[in-house]
Amino acid sequence: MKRPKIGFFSLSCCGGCLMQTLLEEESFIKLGEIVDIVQFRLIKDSIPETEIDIAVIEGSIGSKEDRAKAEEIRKAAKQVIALGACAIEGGVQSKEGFLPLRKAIKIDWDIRGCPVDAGEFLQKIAALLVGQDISQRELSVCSECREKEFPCLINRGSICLGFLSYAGCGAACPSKGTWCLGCRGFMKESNKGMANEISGKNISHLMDFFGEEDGRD
Amino acid sequence: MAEIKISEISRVYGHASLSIWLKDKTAESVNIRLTQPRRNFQNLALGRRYEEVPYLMSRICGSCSFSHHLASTMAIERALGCEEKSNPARELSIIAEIIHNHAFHLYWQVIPDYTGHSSLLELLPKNQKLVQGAILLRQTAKRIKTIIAGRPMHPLGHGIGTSVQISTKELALVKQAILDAIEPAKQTAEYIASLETEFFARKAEYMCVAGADYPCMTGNLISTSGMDIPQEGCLGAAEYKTLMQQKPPVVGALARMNNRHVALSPLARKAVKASRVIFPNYNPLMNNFAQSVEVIHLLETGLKALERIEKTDDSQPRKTEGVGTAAVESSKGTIVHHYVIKDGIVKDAKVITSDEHNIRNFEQDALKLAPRFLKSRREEIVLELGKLLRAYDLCFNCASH
Repeated sequence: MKRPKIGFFSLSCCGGCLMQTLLEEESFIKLGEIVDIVQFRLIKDSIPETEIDIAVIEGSIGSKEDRAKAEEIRKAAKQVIALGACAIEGGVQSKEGFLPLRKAIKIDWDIRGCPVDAGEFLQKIAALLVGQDISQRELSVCSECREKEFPCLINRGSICLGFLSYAGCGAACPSKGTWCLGCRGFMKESNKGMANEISGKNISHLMDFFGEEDGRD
Repeated sequence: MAEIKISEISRVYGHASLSIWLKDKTAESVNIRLTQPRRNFQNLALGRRYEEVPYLMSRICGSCSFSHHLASTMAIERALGCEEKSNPARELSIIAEIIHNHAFHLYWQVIPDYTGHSSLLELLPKNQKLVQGAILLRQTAKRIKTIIAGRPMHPLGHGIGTSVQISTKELALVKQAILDAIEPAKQTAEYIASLETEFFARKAEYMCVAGADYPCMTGNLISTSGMDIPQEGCLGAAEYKTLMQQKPPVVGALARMNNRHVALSPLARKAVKASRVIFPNYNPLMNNFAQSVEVIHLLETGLKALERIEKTDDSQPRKTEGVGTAAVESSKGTIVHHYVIKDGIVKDAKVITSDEHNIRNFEQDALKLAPRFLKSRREEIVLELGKLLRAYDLCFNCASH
């Protein structure tokens, strides 16, 4: 069987999501044994490939060069994964005119978070390699807080956007008593119109912390 | 003029191109250009409540997120009159980030230059033991960061005025992780010292934050030519301004070693002695070795910091307006955050990253080093300048803040 070719690419962002993919080094090295990592500029010298099975792209579109690069990757890749909040929603810099990837090219899959979770990334890549659907499940961060029995931030009078936002982070922020700012984007069916009433606070100004309110068209 | 251009430098953080301009076969200039647009974090902070700002500023850089977060937190705490007290948990999280980054930089970015591989993945089958050491070091750092800050990037729980609480059980885990990493850290320093490093020197100015210990988050800004100014108000200090205009100082591991090698831990001192490298050292390529020594030093310093961790109360802001500055050492060097706050809202923000100090120094060194390789093939020139560039551990993500 031909080894699948995976390319890792970066546009305008903090560069953190690609670093996260390397966090579980042993697993990443195993990934390198079953696929060809044809491009990963952060850790590898390489020449551009014209045919890639999976392109993983972090970062937002901030310039003509970013757009051209995204289009080029799209042309070469059979499937494109938007990796992290910058690629999916534009990221914290979106107020300065940076755009999410889907404004420039068609995206096949999302892996969410700011930063993305290393374990989730590896699981989803593995699932994709055997042809599974890796769509985000429509569950909010509340489901994870309840499961782990973390005290509810809203009940404690703290800011929390978790009831609007996609789960998958393991409720990392509430676990440390830190505000959930919804880095994984808001669910399709979330009750954004009532956000201030539900949270008992004005949180409108925080709803675009990681970019556009809704990660999807 | 002829140009040798590397349009996307690989094995570095972020995006930049490097050009060497040649005239009559001599190097006329060397120039780094950021190819990532500025994200304007100084603008993004304006109009925000102060509590939100550290969580924004950590996003300047994925690899230095803890340093940016804490520099931002501490500058805001100063502006709002929070009581300053020793904070070993914060020190420990900076220590973990520096170890995490040094190990990443040395193994994934630097070593392939010297072994002739395109990446560490290629080297793996030939030197399993070496790579295992890298993995262990990184896992230790990751574990400490996760215990203290919830995750290894964009830290949680380091809010304004808050002190991080760590349970006795977690403290024991951190301690064990540190002890496990000491042996691989020693091996790393030995291996890095054995790499054949070009002999090169330029007596540049080296600057870092340093208090009684090393590296410090609360000491003065000091330099090898004797600058010694408090970090509060440093951006306005004449000495610092003149230095930045005339002779931007080099920052990073080598700068810390050149200024504070006397404060090294016993095992780190031993590693230096065994290598026969002498500090202060003005060869920028020795930054790699300095990083590997720092890893040992920081592990030992981390053990000491663990003993000082105790339950402390939060120190809440005493006012809603003020001006504050904080300088923190990141793996790549000194970063400075400065804020003006009114009615709890950020009115002005200024961030200086390590690259603002280092890029110009790299260009000067590259210009001086280039003539040695100009008669070689393009690949050779690219390799040798790449070694220098990676030794500087430049971060173009930070630079595009």
